[in-house]
Amino acid sequence: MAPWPHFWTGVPVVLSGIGGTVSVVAANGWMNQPAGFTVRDGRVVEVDPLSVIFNDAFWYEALHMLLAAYMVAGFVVAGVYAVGLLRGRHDRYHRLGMAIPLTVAAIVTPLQIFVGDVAAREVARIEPAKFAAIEMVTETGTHVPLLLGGALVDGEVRYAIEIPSGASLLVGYSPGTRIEGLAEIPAEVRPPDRLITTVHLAFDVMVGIGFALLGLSLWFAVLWWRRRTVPQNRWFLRAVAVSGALTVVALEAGWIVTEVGRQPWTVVGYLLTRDAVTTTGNVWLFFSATLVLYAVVGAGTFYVLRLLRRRWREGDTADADVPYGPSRARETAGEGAG
Amino acid sequence: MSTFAAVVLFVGVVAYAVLGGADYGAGFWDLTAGGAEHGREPRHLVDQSLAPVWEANHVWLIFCLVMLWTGFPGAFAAIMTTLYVPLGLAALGIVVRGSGFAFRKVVVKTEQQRVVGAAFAASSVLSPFFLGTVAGGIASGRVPVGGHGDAVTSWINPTSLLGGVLAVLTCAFTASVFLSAEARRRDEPDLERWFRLRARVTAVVTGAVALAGIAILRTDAPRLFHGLLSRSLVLVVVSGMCGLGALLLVDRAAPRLIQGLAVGAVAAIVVGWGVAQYPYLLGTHLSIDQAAAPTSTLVALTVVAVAAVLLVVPSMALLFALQQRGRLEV
Repeated sequence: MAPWPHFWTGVPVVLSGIGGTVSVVAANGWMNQPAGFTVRDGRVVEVDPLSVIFNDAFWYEALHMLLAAYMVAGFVVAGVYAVGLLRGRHDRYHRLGMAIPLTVAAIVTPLQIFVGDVAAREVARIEPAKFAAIEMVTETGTHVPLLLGGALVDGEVRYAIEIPSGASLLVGYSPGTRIEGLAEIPAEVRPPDRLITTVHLAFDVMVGIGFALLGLSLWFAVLWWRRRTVPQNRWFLRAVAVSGALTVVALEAGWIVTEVGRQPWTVVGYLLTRDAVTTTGNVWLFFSATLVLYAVVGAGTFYVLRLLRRRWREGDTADADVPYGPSRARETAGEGAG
Repeated sequence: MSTFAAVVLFVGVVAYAVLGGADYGAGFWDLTAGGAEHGREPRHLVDQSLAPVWEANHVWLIFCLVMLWTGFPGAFAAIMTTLYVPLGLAALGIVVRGSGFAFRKVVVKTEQQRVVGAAFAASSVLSPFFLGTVAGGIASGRVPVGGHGDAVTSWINPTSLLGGVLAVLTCAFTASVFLSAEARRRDEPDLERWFRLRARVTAVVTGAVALAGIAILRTDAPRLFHGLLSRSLVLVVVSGMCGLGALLLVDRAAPRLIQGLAVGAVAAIVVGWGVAQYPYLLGTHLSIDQAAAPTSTLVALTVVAVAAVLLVVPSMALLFALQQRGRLEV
């Protein structure tokens, strides 16, 4: 295929990728901030699709996820090539394979931290219950400390590192900022302590990894600025190699924050998770069967990828395209040799 | 409005029956192709002609599901909570099938190819069978409006079993016609004969089962039976004629014409089912109108669906054109 048509075939993939991300997140945003519909006698009667899509949580969630997707893709791909470079494959392909995605990810990371900061303030404003879980704020008040780590045990914060007035400062730029605590949530829809701990720790993991990746991005910028070549520093390459896995962890932690942080609701204010879940039996059976199936498929993928790698190393790139028997190409090659 | 949305949904069903059907059917012939040495050539053709398109064909299933749960959420919930067993098994088959097909292209040892290939081929038969039982359960009115119908008899019943068997047979029929045309295009007369013979056999068997099915429907799903023989009679006849035409012309006419006849046979009978069931979505108790989402949702959904069809159909046409011209070989 000619280079430019080849290039243009990628454009719809990018556009539909963005469209898909935004649509999925719009649905999730709506679960957090339901809007654009009227319920009459337990039935949804009027729907305004645009208000449904562009709900209050839409913009920050969609932007946050889109940037996260670029970070994950960037650091994961760069990580793969960093491993290659560490194993001594210094060709142009490996250097570019690391440098291009890493550059994208390094540019996106500071933007993401800024968007994440805005998002957290929006959550504090329109989803106070989730924010209270994120920061483990038990009682409403001012001078709310920022807690790092720790857990909520019997309604009390334990084992956390406290930064005095930190949460109030981050939310309203002043220690006097009032933050609503978990006590404001009616008891019947207040999530249990362990869920709050989960949300809080997931948030810490996400933010912690975010700042670590910011550090890595700055390191990359400094190395590039000083040498103007793709960095070969072994510790830097090791860090890039690890960054791929870390971004995936951060992404999952972020989803735990928004999903577990919404409990006990599936659609806030309208539908409790316990009412949303199917009453048909066999849920566990189906769930376990799905897990087993994907474990097998996952293991198969891993095996096949290793196989591909070995074959590629041996320089045999010919596809074994004939199932259940030797390929015609090989047969004729054999005849030629014989 | 709700009728239009239902028609768009049904367009997706027909497209999946034809394209997904040909896709599943190729797996059927893969399964029945015999031992490693004997079945090598047919499997090679299946592999070559399926590789570029097999994912695209299943876009229609997603299209149908989205149309159903957005446009007719009540019916979706009723179908899912009742027919979850065959739907779950069909989904299992779809996943196993995709993985098996993808893995087979990579592994080299014959035993490994046999395992993943068998997984691909067996699930190619199981998935359409279970989807056929789902269609039978819906058509014979075994899905109650409130859902949570009988998890067993809703899909293990005469109409469902007929639906399942017919689904597998029509898949095999379409695929054998397509593959024999493909073999002719590739100038492989042995292979062409191999698939042509199978096209003939499946055409006869499908016709026989369909005729026997009339008796089954008469006792088990009388409303569907009357609908098929009155309002949908034209379509049933068209389907039969197309099938017969394909059977008679398979070694004479141009590949394109035979393919058209095979598609016509399958599409006409599926449309016939839809027409016979109209205006009901579930059996004779939930009408399209009652099941529909609020109008604004239907408008938005229909706009998006039509846009999707306008985007997807030309791209798929291009994909198939490139594939049939043999431009997608690796």
